[in-house]
Amino acid sequence: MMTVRVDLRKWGKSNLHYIIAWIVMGLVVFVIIVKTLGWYTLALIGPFLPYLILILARLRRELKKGLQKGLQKGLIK
Amino acid sequence: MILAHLTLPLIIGGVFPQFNLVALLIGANISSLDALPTLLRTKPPKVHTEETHAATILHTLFFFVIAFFPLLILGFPIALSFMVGGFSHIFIDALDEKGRMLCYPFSRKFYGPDLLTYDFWTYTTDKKIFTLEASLFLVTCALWLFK
Repeated sequence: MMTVRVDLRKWGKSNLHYIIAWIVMGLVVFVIIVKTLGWYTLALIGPFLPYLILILARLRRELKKGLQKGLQKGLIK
Repeated sequence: MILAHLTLPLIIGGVFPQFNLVALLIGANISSLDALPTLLRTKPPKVHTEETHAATILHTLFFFVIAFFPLLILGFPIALSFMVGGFSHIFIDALDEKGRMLCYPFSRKFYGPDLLTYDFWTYTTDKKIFTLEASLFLVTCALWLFK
């Protein structure tokens, strides 16, 4: 059970179908929750908003790192 | 589990309308608040099962049993829904290779049937897991459409 290290760009490319499916399912569930709970949705997602910001910031940093590596190696023009 | 922490409470709430859906969903997701140290760390641990996430009191049945009593102030259905939501989180989480501290505070050992992977990258691209999560998603949609 070792930690799995992945190249985000490579992983994203080869698993694009999974990523799209997860995003679609997540969005549909989110719509169902908003339609069912209304304003109470804020009570559910409120505590996790700082987490979301952290995740997005990390993702941005990782993608930037990957982009720089790709540019250095001449893989991206 | 990722989406199951939302779809399973939605299914429970759809089948048993006696439950308070808001409390079910909050109970089923409050455990994930212990993911903060994992999000803040700069280096992953050598063994991913040593993550702080899912290894705190928030990921124990004990937490929800204790939380049940003060929540009775808000009413029995809310307290019960919160506890059932929390239990659903712990039990579906316990299916992975890490297991969960099911016997806390008597034991800090992690128990589980080791059916699913714990690692995020393998988890999201595992066919078996994806089928399970997608099935729960489809049941949720069907319940919501035909209610």
